[in-house]
Amino acid sequence: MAEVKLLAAWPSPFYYRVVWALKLKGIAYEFIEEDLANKSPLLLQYNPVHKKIPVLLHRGKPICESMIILEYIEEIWPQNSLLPSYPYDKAIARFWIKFADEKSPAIWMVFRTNGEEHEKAVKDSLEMLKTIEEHALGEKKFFGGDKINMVDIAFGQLAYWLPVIEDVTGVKLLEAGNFPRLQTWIKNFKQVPIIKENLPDRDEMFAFFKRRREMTLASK
Amino acid sequence: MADELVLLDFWPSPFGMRVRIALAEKGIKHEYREEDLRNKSALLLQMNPVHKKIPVLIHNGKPVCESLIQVQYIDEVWHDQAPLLPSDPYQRAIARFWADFVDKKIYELGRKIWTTKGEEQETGKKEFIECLKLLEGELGDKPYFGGENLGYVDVVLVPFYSWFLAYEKCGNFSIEAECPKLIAWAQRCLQKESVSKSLPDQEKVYGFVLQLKKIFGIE
Repeated sequence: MAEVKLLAAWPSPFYYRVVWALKLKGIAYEFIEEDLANKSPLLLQYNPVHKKIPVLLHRGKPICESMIILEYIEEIWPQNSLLPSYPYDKAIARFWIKFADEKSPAIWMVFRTNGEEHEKAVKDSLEMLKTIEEHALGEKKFFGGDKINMVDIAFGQLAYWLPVIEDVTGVKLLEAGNFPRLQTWIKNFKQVPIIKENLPDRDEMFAFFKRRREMTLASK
Repeated sequence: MADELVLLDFWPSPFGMRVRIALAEKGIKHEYREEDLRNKSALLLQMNPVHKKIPVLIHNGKPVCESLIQVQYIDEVWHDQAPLLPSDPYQRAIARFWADFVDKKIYELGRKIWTTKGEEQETGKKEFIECLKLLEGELGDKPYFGGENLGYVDVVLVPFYSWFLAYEKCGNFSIEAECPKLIAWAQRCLQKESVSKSLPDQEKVYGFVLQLKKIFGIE
């Protein structure tokens, strides 16, 4: 029986955060696919509060919320560290992880809406990207320095899911704002071997999200 | 060299209260500076340029922002006194989960209760009580969320108790009637000096909320 199981659903960016962390540390796991339109009793049992994926099961015990899962993975399997060890640097890393979690939903609002709501979401997304460009990256290759760390993983949505949202909606956020540091980071992040080998198929994602956007807007 | 700690704060902020409690639990000397949020100091804007919010903890000139991050930072740096997070990684993940739950739900739902009326307010009240009941479930028979001693989740949640009277008056309901265990827990926390000295009086917070309602034209 696998010691580590991951309840998740393609192509959730939160699922991929956990995959990247596990792979970077060389941890084997069993993937249990959830149908979010028909949630399994297992998911409802292991995440009764939010009923969401991903859920990590370690020796049968559930951990929920992707960034909490990542902190847990970091503590149980410290090899190839994903967080700085010095408390102040750790606090700065956690600040940007929280920022990523708090602000990234704006890009999904761009995806899910039209009209006035959509305009506001575009504005919020550009503001977020501007803040990352001006305050978060500095001159480093990655948020983690020479190697990626938990902060890069937290921002992973921007490297791969945002471009798909841009293609589906026709809103070119990254170009519009001209974010050179961020654009370079995106290029470098996607070249990291573990990331490159563990990304959803771009064409399949495009088709999936195109259908979803059509359905979402039709139901409004 | 002695540690220099400055806390930029605002007296009714439950987020600021979390940091006050953590510092008091560990007996850490610090300077408390009250911010006027309608006239933010140059120091605040310099130390938290991204969010421009309090609380900001400045340790030897270097800022740490966001209350949950500040409490974890304090716990890590001053790890010998009164530990707040459990030492077991799985228990830590559980504590972080509930702190995250409090952050996602309690502030926004509480805000809904004192800023809205009618159906919106009723929905807010219902969801607020549901969340408190979930927290009661997590507390179980333990004296504190941290077990025998005050822990991370206690520090994260108890500040909202100072806002309960304001929620009750604005929402015209009794939290104690619905969640007596949680009220008993809050009062147990208040027996501790670190908590009682960090939380303002409920009447004072209610007065502040009434003032805000006037300023923002909320009935």
